[in-house]
Amino acid sequence: MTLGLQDKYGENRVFDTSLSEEGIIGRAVGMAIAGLMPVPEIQFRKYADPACEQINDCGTMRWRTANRFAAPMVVRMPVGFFRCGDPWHSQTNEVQFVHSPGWRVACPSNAEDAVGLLRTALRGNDPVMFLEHRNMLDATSARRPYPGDDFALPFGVAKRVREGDAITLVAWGAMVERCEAAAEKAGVSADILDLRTLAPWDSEAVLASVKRTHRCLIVHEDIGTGGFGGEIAAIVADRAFLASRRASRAPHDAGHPLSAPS
Amino acid sequence: MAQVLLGLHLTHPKDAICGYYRSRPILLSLGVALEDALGSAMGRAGGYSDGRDIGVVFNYPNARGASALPMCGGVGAQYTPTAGYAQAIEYHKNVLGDRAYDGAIGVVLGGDASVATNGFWAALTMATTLKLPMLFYVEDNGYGISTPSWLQTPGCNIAQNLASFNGLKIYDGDGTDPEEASYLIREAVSHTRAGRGPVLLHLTVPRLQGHSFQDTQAYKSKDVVEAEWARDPLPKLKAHVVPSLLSETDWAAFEASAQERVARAAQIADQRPVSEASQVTRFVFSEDGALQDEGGLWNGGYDAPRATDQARPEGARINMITAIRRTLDHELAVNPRVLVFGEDVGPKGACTV
Ligand SMILES: Cc1ncc(C[n+]2csc(CCOP(=O)(O)OP(=O)(O)O)c2C)c(N)n1
Repeated sequence: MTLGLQDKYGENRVFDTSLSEEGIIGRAVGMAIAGLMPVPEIQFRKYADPACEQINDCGTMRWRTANRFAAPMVVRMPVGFFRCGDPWHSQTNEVQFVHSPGWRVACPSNAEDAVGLLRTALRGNDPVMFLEHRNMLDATSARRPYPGDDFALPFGVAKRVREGDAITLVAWGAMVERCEAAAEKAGVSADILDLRTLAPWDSEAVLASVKRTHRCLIVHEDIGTGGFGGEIAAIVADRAFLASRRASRAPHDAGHPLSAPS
Repeated sequence: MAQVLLGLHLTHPKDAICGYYRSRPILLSLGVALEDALGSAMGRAGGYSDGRDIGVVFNYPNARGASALPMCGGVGAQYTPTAGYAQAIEYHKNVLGDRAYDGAIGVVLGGDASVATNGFWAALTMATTLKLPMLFYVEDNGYGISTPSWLQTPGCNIAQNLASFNGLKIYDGDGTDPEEASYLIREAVSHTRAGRGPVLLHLTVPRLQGHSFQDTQAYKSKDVVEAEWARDPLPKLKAHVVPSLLSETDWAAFEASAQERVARAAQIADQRPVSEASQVTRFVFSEDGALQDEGGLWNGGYDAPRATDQARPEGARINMITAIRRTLDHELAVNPRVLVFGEDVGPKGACTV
């Protein structure tokens, strides 16, 4: 992934660290405050666990200092199942980062989106989790021509990868190509949305699609209980299905990620 | 007393400290207003968090002198960001050629119990292996709330235990003795400033009161409490300067004026309203037109290159690995503030694939 970059940019700009994820993210926090744009890498999703405290504190920094300080950075890490699974190398658990206020979360499904989202993140003003799905890194279906040095994608804008009117399929990362293959195989006219980012996520696009198709299937690679798919299901149920049956609707209050004073 | 002495040495505009809830004295010595210190602890509007945090963990953006990186409630969380800041000082000097960082240092403050945390050891490894301009200031009051310090480091003294740690200069002494503390602090700061690598300064102090208002210190014997009060640094400081430098009257005048300033500040703080409820959802993320005071590219005058969301596909299809590498490569090329690091990302080029 970073092969050759150290040769080109030197050991001050591309370097190995000591084996401490807390150290890797904490270091990035101090560097970001000093005006740099750190791009720390975690070797596997599970190994972000020792950095939890720094990740959480980084995310809340802007809010808890009332916009006096912020530590924008781009944390890259591989996620998800690839070839064989185990509890340490196959986790996705994107939802933990979405649940950490202040983090933007990108889960590209292909090479073009990866370029566009990474570029936006590297030029941005918020901390970003950039999650690279292991199964897509060299997948044929994820290959695209390089979209250019100026190409940058906004966060929170889903991509319609297939148009249809019988059912809405919502996915991201490695599940996008699975949905495409399944729709193809079943011969169903599916409206397939690739969310591309989970924080923020494009609820407008999903709701608009569901209003047309009246059916919604969310496909996520995670534990069934408490995954991000559950959040989408809650919003779709509330705003698309229940809303149409209610005269007046109570506002859904899970939309704003807030930290509480401790 | 020792914290204030340390604060007086942090005169470099690019110095930064990161402390914890017990770091109020050094924050006041850096310039935090008394009203802010008191008002924030009362959860009032304004101050350093607009009532959003616990009040005793500070942050202090300061363009003219030492800044205080945002502190956290978690013990040990202060260490690795300070090491990162110290590494950024080196980056500004060596990569960006910014001479404004020459001689700047990062200072972290922690208690005796914090030396048992992961953050302490992670930062110690970083600072010593990379020879960072970083000062570890450990204020040892013998307890972490009620837990005695023999459980935090064998024999209670982290300075003794780290005596043979490669690349770390140790200073160890009595934080209540004005002469000794001031000498050790001066030596520790100048060693770090001179670029001779990280320093650990361990000073012993008494904790005169409970950890919090609810804490009656029932776990300390009467003798221990008496011995602690006998080490109160304030009378020691007075004995040190009166009458050799100040008259008894001067000292009394100082005392009275300090009391008056605090009382006035408390009054001002008390009159502050609580923060505006309608504003509480702001600043979870960045907002256009409202840049933070410190941190990130944008408030340093960064002007992002032109971008488009229209792909202009060029060449053959590439996989995600090449796509990500090429994007990193381009951004490293156009922005000298971008840097990439992690385990095995250097010569090996990452481990996953
Ligand atoms: C990670 C974490 N665990 C537990 C606590 C609760 N806690 C607050 S202060 C404290 C003791 C810290 O002692 P020390 O570092 O010696 O500092 P002192 O208060 O004595 O100056 C504990 C356990 C915390 N704030 N953070």
